[in-house]
Amino acid sequence: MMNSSLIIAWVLTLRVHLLSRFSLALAAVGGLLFIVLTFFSYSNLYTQLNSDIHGRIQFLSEVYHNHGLERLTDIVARQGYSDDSADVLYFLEFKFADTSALAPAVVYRETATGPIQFLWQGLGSNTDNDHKMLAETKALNPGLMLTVGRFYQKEFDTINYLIGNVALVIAVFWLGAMVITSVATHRALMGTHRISKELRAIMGQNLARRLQPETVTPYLKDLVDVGNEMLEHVALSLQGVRSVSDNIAHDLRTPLTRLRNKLTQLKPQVPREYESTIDELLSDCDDLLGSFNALLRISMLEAGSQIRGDAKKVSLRVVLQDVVDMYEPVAHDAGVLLDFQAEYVDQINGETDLLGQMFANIIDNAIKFTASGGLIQIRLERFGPEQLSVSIADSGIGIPQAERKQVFRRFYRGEPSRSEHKGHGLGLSLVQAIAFYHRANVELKDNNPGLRVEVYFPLAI
Amino acid sequence: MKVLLIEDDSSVADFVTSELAVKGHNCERASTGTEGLLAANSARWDALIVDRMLPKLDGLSIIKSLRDKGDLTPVLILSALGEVDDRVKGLQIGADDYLVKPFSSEELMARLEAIHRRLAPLGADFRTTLEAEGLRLDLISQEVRRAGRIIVLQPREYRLLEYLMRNAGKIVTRSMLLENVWGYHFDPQTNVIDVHISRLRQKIDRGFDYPLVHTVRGAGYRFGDE
Repeated sequence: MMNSSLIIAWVLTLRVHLLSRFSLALAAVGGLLFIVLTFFSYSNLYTQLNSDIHGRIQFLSEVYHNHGLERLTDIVARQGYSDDSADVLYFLEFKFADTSALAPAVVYRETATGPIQFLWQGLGSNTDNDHKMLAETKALNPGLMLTVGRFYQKEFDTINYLIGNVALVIAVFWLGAMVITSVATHRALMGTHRISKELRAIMGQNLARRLQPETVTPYLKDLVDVGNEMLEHVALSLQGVRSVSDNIAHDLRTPLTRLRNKLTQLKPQVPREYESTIDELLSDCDDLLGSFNALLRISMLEAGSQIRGDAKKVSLRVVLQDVVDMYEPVAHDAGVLLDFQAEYVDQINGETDLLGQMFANIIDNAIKFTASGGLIQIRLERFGPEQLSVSIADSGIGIPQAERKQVFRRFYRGEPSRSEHKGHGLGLSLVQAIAFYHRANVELKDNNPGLRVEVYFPLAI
Repeated sequence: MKVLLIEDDSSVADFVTSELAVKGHNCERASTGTEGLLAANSARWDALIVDRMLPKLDGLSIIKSLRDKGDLTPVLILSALGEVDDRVKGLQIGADDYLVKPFSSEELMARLEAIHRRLAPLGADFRTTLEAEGLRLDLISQEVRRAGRIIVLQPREYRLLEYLMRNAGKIVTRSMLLENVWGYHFDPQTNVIDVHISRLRQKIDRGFDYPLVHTVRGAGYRFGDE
């Protein structure tokens, strides 16, 4: 089970993950918007300024051509130098030498703060910080150059101000979107997380329980409905398995027992020489019944719900010690040494009889497959913060790597087992079913030589 | 022993009745829950054998209603429901033992006699020694003597012997030993119990004229003669 801090961390990570992607995308869109806006604002400004300047030059050029130089100079003198605050600058240059219209020239303009120098080259712009200007020069005739300049600091400032505001709006919008998304994803994730936690609880404890659609946000209701539908299916098929098992119990075990009982009743009535045959038949019946019982138990354990967190607490050390005591004479007769060591450890939620069966099966196997003079080491240790590990390691023949998965299958029996030992081939299947019931994991490992069975149990909560 | 059997499956009922008759017990039958409860209340019984799944009234309800009114007649549950939960439920409600169907006749008889013995002479178990066939068990000092000679036993061997002696002359099955001496209810893979018995035998029977612990083939063990 995930603990809660882990889940919160998971939700946080997922949120950060989603948020970072979303914020990057949103920031990219915002940035693009900003760039496009800035580009169009400035280019629009320059287009307007240029057409304004061009219009004025056109007008003055027409004045010069239609009314002569006198009228032109009149206008230029009146407008060009008259007003300090004028945005437009006119400048006439008389060049009798053949100078190129595009040659750099210096224009002076008197202002309240003294002369300001503008440098331009043909159609160009000034880079002075406070007095931005665009200008265009036209040769009215080879000796007469007309220059019209246009200050645009005010317009430029206005646009900058507007663009600044737009950037601010985009940033605020971005932040707001982040907050809203963050809250929304958190709610959505907590909703799904609540559903998964609930489902886990239902699977582990009570399959009859259902998810409550009222407790989740409307957009998760569909998920809840689907989840409930699935639970319904699971419950139904579980019921099917149970009734089949019950039928097997009734329909197969009962006649077999009747057979066994009739044999028992027959025994005192037959001649002495047949008594041993009847004993053999009886023990065959017992083997068959043993297989049936083991099989039924495996099915019940696998199909049923796993152990609950509020189940009885059991000390694995006590159970292991009991089973070791129980098997000690068997091991002794086989010439095998049982060595049990346990750390002082906490308890697990468990069913004593099932755990006893589990360790009995493992230790019984270990004794069977270990030759005389061998050693079986049984260890109980803490494994990490939330698990206990039980390791049962023998010095016997082991199980080849390729067979390790198959030995858990029902009725599977390895080669040495088939030829030398009697058994129904359900021992390890039952071990695994019992492990499943206790939410434990069974692993088979090489003990070099021999087999090491490791079982990891979750500690009791 | 006067036994009431409440069981709806007539073949099981026939079998139990004939087994009880062979051992000289008297058995009455009821085939529904209500009939069974009526019969249980209308006479004194030495023991009840109750099926769990019965028509009209289930076995657990019968036991509960008997226990609720203070009836302590020994009850053995007979049931096809054999999971841990089922057993626990049955024993918690007041049954004295639980036998899972299908069962063998020896197991049934052994368990029935054991619960009957356990409860019949109330107060009889204030004994401080157990003595049979020349073997003496001091329950306080846990000293074991046979013909005056002290026998040293391991704690588990002592408990095994004590259980056998408390049931002297009767068959005890392997699963009864596992449940009562070790406190576990499961299916031991090999002859674990046999190995323990043979160890015990080596200590208490070796060097004496006659054995005290007998093997009853197909059933279990018996301390002393029948």
